Amino acid sequence: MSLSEPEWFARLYDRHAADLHHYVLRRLGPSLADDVVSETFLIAFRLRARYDTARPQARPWLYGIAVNVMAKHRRSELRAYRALARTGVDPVAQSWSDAADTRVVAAAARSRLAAALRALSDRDRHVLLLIAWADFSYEEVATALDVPLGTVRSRLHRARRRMRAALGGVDPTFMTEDPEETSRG
Amino acid sequence: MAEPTDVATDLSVVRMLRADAPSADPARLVAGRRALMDAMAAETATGKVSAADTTARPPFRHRRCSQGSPATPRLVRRTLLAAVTAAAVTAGVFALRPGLPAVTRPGSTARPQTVATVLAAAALTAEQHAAQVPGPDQWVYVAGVACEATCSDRVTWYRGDGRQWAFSGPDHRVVVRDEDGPKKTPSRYTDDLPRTYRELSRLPSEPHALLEALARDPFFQDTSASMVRIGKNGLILGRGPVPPPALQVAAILGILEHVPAVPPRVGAALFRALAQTPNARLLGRPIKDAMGRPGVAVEFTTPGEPAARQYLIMDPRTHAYLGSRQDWPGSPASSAYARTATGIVSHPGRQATPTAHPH
Repeated sequence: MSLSEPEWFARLYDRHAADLHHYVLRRLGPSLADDVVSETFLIAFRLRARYDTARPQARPWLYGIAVNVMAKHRRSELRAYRALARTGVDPVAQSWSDAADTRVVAAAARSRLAAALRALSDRDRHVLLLIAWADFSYEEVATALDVPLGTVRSRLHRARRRMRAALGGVDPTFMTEDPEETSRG
Repeated sequence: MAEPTDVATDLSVVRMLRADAPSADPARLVAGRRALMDAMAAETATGKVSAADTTARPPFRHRRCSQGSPATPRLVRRTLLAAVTAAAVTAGVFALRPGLPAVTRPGSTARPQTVATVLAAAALTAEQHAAQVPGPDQWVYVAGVACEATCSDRVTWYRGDGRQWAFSGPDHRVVVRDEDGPKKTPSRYTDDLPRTYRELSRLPSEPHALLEALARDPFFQDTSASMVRIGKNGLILGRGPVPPPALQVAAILGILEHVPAVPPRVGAALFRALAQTPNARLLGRPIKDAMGRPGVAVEFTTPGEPAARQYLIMDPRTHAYLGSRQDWPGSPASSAYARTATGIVSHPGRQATPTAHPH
């Protein structure tokens, strides 16, 4: 195997760029998604010699790099959660969604969810969102974040506990909008 | 997922947040791919990274990533692009297996490749490809890159009933257009996809019969094409109709480029027919398509005519259609096309998974 060929990276891009872009878009919004994806692949290319050839999939490796790239935009991500929690309006989703999102998750639940996501530690948030938004398995998360499997389980357990607490044990898909709730930060 | 899915769980609620985020614009992905190729090429050329270091190392520690240089070498990549592009052409023929990158160099194959073996492989691949027949309300999505004086993305959708088509405009907005209505002779194959599919389905599978049918049937001929005779001094001596076999070669390359939904049987027959045309030559080196992807190429020329050289470019591993290219000897003019993805989608604006490199 050779990792010295740009063509392999081009094919890696063909296979993973769309999904990675979608994941980053959900976390940071359209204005940053293009840049984060580009930088992720370029860094991966620079570090290709460090790629563990025994690993069967490149996806966790790429997302692990993306997590680091996204860390530079942590404040932007947290600002969006805070805005959603306080106003009920999601600045990240504004470019593609008007009221559509409210049909999926009621506004009050979204606000509480955003507040809970913002309150999570970065480590816990990465685990939760890789599983929920990128459909990663525990093993893939462990590979992407370079942590033991047990750590993934404990972080996810902690994150989910906070989510449940924020949602109050109520099925939020059937919650009606509550203006008072949307003002909670 | 190791976690069971239940609509009322906290995890499923998290999943629903921003779940309606759109897929990446294919044109932007294509542009991103091109920028990545440029940057990688420039970095390789400058030796910024140790490209030769392919030794397996301990598992990658992702925390080191952020320590990498964030600088984007735009100037470097612009100045060195041409040189590295040339290097990419001679980079070799690749073979990939699922999940793992692998490289197979030319010459490692058991027997030498010929026009016949390469086009037979292309025919087999086309035959195994499922027919892309859209329903009346569905759309055929086609993404590609077309280069003439400059390169541009070509992203289009064709409605299954032939009544509408759409394209991605310069600002990445999807513009939907109505077709003018049924025409006796569509000016393009894609004017009426259902009809084109029906006409293609009627073509014979036997290569020689197919070539004859293509020569006779005006539906598949580019009536605007003409053969230009050029004297030694470069002046145009005259124009005339395109004679066989250039006529059929142009027709087949036109179908492969412009028709996104070809019956698999006919798709295979087109490649087998090309193998029967005289003066087809397998290039001994990879040739790039408009996306910069090196592929196996078959060159088609017309004896005694200083006309265009046409190239059919195929994936070096699967021999699937990648694109085509035309060069005019003695002229800097050149045109190229690369297809990056096709598929059936529910509405215009949606993209399908790239198909040019199925892994």
